[in-house]
Amino acid sequence: MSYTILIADDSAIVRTMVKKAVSMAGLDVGQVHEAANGKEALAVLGRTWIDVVFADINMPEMTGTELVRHMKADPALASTPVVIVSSEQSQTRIDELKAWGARAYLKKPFRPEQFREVVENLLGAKR
Amino acid sequence: MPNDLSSDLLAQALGRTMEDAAFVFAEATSEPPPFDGDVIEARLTYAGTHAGELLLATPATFAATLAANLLGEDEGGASVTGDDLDAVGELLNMIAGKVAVDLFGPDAPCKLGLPRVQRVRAEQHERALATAQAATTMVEEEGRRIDLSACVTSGKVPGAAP
Repeated sequence: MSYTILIADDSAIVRTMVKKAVSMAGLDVGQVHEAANGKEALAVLGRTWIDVVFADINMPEMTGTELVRHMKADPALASTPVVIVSSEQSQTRIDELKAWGARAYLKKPFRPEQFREVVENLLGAKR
Repeated sequence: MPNDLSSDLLAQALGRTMEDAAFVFAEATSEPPPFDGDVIEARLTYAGTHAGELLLATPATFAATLAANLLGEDEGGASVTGDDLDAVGELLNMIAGKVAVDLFGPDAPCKLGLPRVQRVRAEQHERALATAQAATTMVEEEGRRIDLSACVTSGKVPGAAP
């Protein structure tokens, strides 16, 4: 069975970069959903089963940080892993996000193999 | 460890990001060639122990190449959306992440804003560049110019004489 993923980033080019990286990483990805901010991401999560969310921090309407907190507070979404994909490199910020519930952190610019490593760590090897 | 805001700090962040993310190899120059045509300017605010704004500028004709390189495709490739301004904004986002850590240190909190991108005339960009507290200009292999500058908007200018 393939993974269903959600990419939340306000930049269309970054969403495409993540899609390409995931594909190049050799992960068995089926459906790919996209959202331009945290609010749109929550709407997708409300209607579709998602195996893993890749989310930016700085987005309009609802940030990645707020998205993580909303998901943590919702029993139906609390166990869905969120991987933050961001340019922010402050260790304090990364630790904060992990404390709020983000499961992993990838810094931009990223490499495809980082996605493979993170997804396999979170969801186990290829199903 | 925190560092002063300087053209060297900006040049390092710009050069590394252009290489790592967009496969563009550029060197700093003290004699920048004039922009040939319009310029794409991306701006992004940052707030740590002082607050400021970073400005990345490239020739408008170079933005499509940057977008294609970010996606690892030829210009006009299947994934290239044509939203070349988005590519310049995203590159500044990546540069800002490095600048923030270099300026304030890896453990200091720093908030980054959202990139705002616009197309401007070269003269308008040169006027903005003249007001910057620190700036670097690099030239890539085909002679195209890339500027990165910083304006401090509140707090003391790091590295400035008392």
